Amino acid sequence: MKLGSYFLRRLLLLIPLLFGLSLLTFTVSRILPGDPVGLAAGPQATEEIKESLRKEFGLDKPLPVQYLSYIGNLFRGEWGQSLYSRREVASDLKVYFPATLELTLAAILFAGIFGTLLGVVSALNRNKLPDHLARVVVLFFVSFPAFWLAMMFQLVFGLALDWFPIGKRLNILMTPPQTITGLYLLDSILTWNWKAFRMAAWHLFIPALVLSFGALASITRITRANMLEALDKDFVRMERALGMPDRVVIFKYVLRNAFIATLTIIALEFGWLMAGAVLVETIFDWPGLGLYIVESSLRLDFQPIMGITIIYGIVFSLVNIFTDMAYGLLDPRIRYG
Amino acid sequence: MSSTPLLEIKDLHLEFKTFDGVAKVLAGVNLTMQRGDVLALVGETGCGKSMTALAVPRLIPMPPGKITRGQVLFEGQDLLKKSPEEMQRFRAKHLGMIFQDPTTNLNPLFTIREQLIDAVLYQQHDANKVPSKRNFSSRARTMRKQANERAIELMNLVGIQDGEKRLSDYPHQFSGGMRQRVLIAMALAGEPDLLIADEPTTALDVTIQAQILGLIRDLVKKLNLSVLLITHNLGVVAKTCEKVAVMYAGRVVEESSVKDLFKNPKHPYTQGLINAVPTRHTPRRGLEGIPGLIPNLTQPPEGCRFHPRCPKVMDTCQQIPEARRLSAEHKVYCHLYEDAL
Repeated sequence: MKLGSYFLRRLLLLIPLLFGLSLLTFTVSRILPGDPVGLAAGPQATEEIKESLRKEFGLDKPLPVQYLSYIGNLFRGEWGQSLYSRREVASDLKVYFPATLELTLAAILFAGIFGTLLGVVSALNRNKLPDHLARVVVLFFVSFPAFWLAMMFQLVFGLALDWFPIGKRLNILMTPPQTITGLYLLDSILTWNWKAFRMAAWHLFIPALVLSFGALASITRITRANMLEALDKDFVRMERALGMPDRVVIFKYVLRNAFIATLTIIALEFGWLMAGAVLVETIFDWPGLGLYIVESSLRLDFQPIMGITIIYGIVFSLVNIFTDMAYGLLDPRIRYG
Repeated sequence: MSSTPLLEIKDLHLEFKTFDGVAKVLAGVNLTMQRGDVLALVGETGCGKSMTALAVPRLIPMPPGKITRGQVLFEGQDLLKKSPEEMQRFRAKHLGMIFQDPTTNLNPLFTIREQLIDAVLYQQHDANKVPSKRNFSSRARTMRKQANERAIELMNLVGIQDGEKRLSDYPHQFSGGMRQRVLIAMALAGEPDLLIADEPTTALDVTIQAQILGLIRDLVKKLNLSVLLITHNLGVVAKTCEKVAVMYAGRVVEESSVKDLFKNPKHPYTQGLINAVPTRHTPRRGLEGIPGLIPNLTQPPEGCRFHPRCPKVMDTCQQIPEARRLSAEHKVYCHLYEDAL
């Protein structure tokens, strides 16, 4: 099938892309001023200790050699160690990454569904009350800084009303579902663990909601604009002239025309959300990548930085590939060249 | 002729709110069609012929449009009084429409089958009885199968070879003329009582125009259709229609049989229009136009809207002219004439 071979080709193209990405990150993380070893060893460390650390991490070798050995290790599944905690980067990523991915996916799903709906409602009631209402509500949430909203939601829904937990992925007393993907919701479905599913969803709701607001706003606005444009097309008048009811004209024929742009913005927002999850993660004590990224960057802890960059690179590339494939499914005029 | 006309437009007034003020786009349009008529509505760009055509299925966007007066009677019932749902049902059951540009009037993202089957389903059945695509009950399957067969039949009817195979194609895989054929098929899916064709050949090149007009003529004969054909092309009128109504600046100025109109145009505007068409009998004469410009509809002239450009203007032209019946078939809205009947 055309779509299958297109997907494979894009996957192959991912390899040089990731090489480039790793080379760039590697170079940048090494030429940055600052001494990671000094930071890791602490202020009282002697020259000998630092020297031995350098030797252990291969920092005494020339840069090209360091890079090649890093790539070589990567192919053997070794992502290196943190200079600071001495923990394997691979095992850290395995713990932190699924948490962030689950949070981001939930947020983008929420923003995508409600953003599209709000956009459609706004467009259909252009410049009438529902349109203004949607605009005001969306602007309200996007105008407040995420951390403030996060804390307010914690206060209101967590502490005052006690409807939702104020943080973490699960109750501390609960054993997480058996790890298959690391996404609690998915894992609990796969293992038919409904109790874990309920708990995980309950913990996920507020952080994902808070994280989704920014994306919700742009998705709503873009969908509204594109719905208005699509509603103005000649074929809409033709479909009405044929006597099709409005719900068919709008939800079957018009929405698909508007949704291509919505899809683009969803893909873009996904990247932003993932990178921007750190604030929400910190406030909700969400064991995700956010804090890991910040700490690693501050300490110039280059091995985790490399690992995170590569993971992000893979995720963004995959999102892009899937988006491009979805374009083709939505619009038959788009051909995979 | 005492039977109720198929379509009767009475004193229709339509206004549009624009930045320059309120444009009085239609100012008392009167038009009558009997069942079986093939009536052409002709006039220059901006004279309101398309707006008249769109007022029948109530497809004029309101706002900014507003019908301030008048009636649109279809077999005696006033369409302007119907609720939106009744109107949607009415369009499905009784009307077919073809528009000018076949490229933009088909939805680019759906196959012809999808669009044509929906046209068939929603014209043949009540909207709430059309099953969803995920409904696999035997009734739903039969309905879809019948609609598919009807779609193939329609493709053959409008002269698309290989109709069954081409149903799976997307609009961009069709040429302009073929798309217009598809649109005609969609309009005819529910066997409409009235087909409104709004400049159906304007966007096509000349050879294709002739084919599409030929197709419409054939269909009129085969299906005994009543057609309201909007055009600015007098050649199209001569080839396709029996009756004609001439519009100028938001009013019908002359109604007649096509033959009579070409032989014996009465209204000074119609005379100017026909003189402006080059013919082979007057080869060396330069083209004659009508002096002046079409009026600004936010500030239309008083009385007969043609009087500022009219070569035979008189004092009475400050008043809106009544219809003068010159014969059973020939009506003119001009002070120059008296009722002959």
